[in-house]
Amino acid sequence: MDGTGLSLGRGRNAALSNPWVLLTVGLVGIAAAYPSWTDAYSLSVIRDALIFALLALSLDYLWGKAGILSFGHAAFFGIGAYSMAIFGPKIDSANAALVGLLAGMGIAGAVALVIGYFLIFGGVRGAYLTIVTLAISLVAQHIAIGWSQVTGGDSGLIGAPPPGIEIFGFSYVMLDPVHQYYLILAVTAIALLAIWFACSGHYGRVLAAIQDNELRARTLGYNTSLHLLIVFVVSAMLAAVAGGLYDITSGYVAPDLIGLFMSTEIIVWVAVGGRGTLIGPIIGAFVVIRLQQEVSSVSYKLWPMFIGAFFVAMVFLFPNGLLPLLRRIPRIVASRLQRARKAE
Amino acid sequence: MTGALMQAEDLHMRFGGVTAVSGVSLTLERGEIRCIIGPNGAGKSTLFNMLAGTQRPISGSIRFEDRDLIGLPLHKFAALGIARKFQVPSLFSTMSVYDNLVVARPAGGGSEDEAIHVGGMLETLGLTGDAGVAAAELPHGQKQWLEIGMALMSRPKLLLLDEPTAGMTSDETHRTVDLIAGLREAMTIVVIEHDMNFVRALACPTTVMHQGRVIASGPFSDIERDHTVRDVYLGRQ
Amino acid sequence: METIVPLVLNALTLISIFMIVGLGLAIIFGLMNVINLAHGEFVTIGAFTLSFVQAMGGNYWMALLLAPFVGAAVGFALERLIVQHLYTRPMATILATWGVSLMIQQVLQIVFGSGPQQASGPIEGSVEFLGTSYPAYRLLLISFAAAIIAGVVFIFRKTRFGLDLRAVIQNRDMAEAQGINTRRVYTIAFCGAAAIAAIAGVLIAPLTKVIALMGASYLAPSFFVVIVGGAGSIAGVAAGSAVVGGLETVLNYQVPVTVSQAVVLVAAVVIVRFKPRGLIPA
Repeated sequence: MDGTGLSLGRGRNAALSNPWVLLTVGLVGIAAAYPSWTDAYSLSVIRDALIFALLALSLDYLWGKAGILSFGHAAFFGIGAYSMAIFGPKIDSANAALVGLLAGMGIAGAVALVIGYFLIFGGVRGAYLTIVTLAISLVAQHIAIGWSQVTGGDSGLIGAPPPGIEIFGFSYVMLDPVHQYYLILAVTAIALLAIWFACSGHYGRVLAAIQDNELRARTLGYNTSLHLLIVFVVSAMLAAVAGGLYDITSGYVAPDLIGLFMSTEIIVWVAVGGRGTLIGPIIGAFVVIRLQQEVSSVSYKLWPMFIGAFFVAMVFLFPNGLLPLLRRIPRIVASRLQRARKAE
Repeated sequence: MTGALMQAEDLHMRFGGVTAVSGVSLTLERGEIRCIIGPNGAGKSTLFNMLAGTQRPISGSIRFEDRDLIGLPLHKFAALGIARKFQVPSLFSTMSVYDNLVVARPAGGGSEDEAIHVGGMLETLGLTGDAGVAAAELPHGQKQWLEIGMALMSRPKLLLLDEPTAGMTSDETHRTVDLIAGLREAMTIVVIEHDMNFVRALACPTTVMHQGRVIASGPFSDIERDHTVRDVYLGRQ
Repeated sequence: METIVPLVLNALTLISIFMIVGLGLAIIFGLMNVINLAHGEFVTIGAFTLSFVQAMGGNYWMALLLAPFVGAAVGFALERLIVQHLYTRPMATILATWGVSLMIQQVLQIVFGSGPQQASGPIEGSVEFLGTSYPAYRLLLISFAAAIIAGVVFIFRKTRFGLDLRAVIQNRDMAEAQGINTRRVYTIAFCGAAAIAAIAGVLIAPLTKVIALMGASYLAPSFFVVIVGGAGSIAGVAAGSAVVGGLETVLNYQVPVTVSQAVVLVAAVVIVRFKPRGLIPA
């Protein structure tokens, strides 16, 4: 089901022959080498895509690994971005970005904790939970637009501190865009590895069990509500990190980053890549963002239409995502060939 | 025998206006196997769910090793040593047989210990060859066994089995009898069953329920001869 | 008295709107366990029907008659082409209906443009009511909503279809065993829900900005209504609407709209914690 192919007789060596792992290593390699042959603009495009990939990863942890579909991830992303834009410039130190990042994570985590606690421990699951996350996005966007003294209203906020650190008299501020690019690549890669590593062991099995049959998992002694709440909060905090990084590198935030359509796009990235595969949603983000540029260059109105059609097509044609479908092509071709050979 | 393992007293349960269980008391000794029988709607499953913690009685008390179970969160039952098998096989259907067994032990444990433990269980269940198969793909009888195996993974003190032989062939039923009989002494077992041959083969103390009440209790051989029981239940077979 | 009466009437207006929008949502959720994220678009379609009919020279009443048919037709297509095939897959239903919602929004934008459409009510001005002057159209909206709800209650309680509907909500398998054609019940209920939402759209249109994206602002509150009140019963929808609409109206007098929405969200979430099946479960 989760396409990682990890099951019986696993060992960490088995991971090296896993195609997803090879793919990941290859992609990180390409991404690391990318700045050496590209211009500043292309680098900023890839950098933004990496941030969105991190955001997609945060949703995949929640949706793919714990089975909770959230329409609220743009809200947590937005909380991260706005916190950076609001708190960061107020701090006169190299630590400003760090403070902004922590503030964003803290607020996003607190919101997720409060809402998640009441809902998840109240026994709310599945579709109901999804609906409430949808409301989180709507409310968050209303606040971003309406609370203009703080959030800048419709026009958003400009300005963000550069990433840096100041500790025991040591001070370092990262101004070079290429360095910032590497920072983002590192954060994304570390987040991917951390989630992948955590989920490849017993913990992943527990989450899979909860997703499969929660009552059963509970009778086996797992505090399933607590597990789900932790995933919800961590996932929200990770989305906030992505939001903070976005503000740091692009230098502005606007309400359209926080709304329902943004949430929808995150779901598309994960859905295209194949939920639960972790690396899939990251690739999905890149593929979809590229496609979005192509489609929007024809007409910006076409893109939402495209997304809408995608959802309908997906549930009927490729419920497990587009990329896992591609992965199956060699197998399908092989079996066709075999059949053809037999027929001869 | 060091006294009762579980003691349920005066349990009551209603759904809407319908009384499902009314004034049922039950004492389980350590190491005993107890069968609960009764016609459909007798309240067996409701009683069972209350003992297992999935339903909370309206009134009454359930004590397990001198601990009050009423109101205890469901996930804490396993830690106390209470394991259950559901009536309809309740497995992690997308996960492999192996993973089902591993995940059935919340303590986790070292990987080596885990492999031995799971390997032994696979052998006991006769599922060694199917370790990598998704649970959903097992034949019905083996699903039932897998679920019993999952319940056993935590080495429970009390094992609650809701119709373990439902849908099994008579051959599979025999093997299930052997499996359960082999656990005698190691733990206390409560079995809800419809299949009289199965209960007869286990030859264990039996409690008969009818219309939400216990109408008889004793060795199965006595129960079989009891006229009231024959009237309400066995006679209809 | 001067402030209480308009406050109550404002609350009643909002509660009426939430009730008629939420009603269809609750019925299909309680009945089929289907979460229809395109439900807001039925409201939009109703509102656009009014704009279109008036632009073509027709009047309000013609639109009010026409809108339920337009809504039901779109609802029929949605149910037959998509929702019906996904009954066992609630998450897929959410994604697919969300996709349809986006597509309807874009089609409306492409056909009618993204600017606000013209729509006007059948009556203008205010009337004296309980010692205050209140917009006449709002009073009309409240009475229409009451009539619609009375009609739905009647169908639920007094007709053969209502009996089938209640039977399926209570226990689908049992109802099927009794020979009720659940498929047919589903389709009719879905179309009915769409029709009521479209009527709601006509009623709302003169009070709001009629744009292709307006559905979303009714979708979330009506889901709150269903979650707070409980799915599958009219009483639940009434209770949910009263809580959500009442709270929002009262708060709007005290705090900015953005804060009141956040408070309503939190209130709904807290209520769900203690009443997971809603205030009045089916």
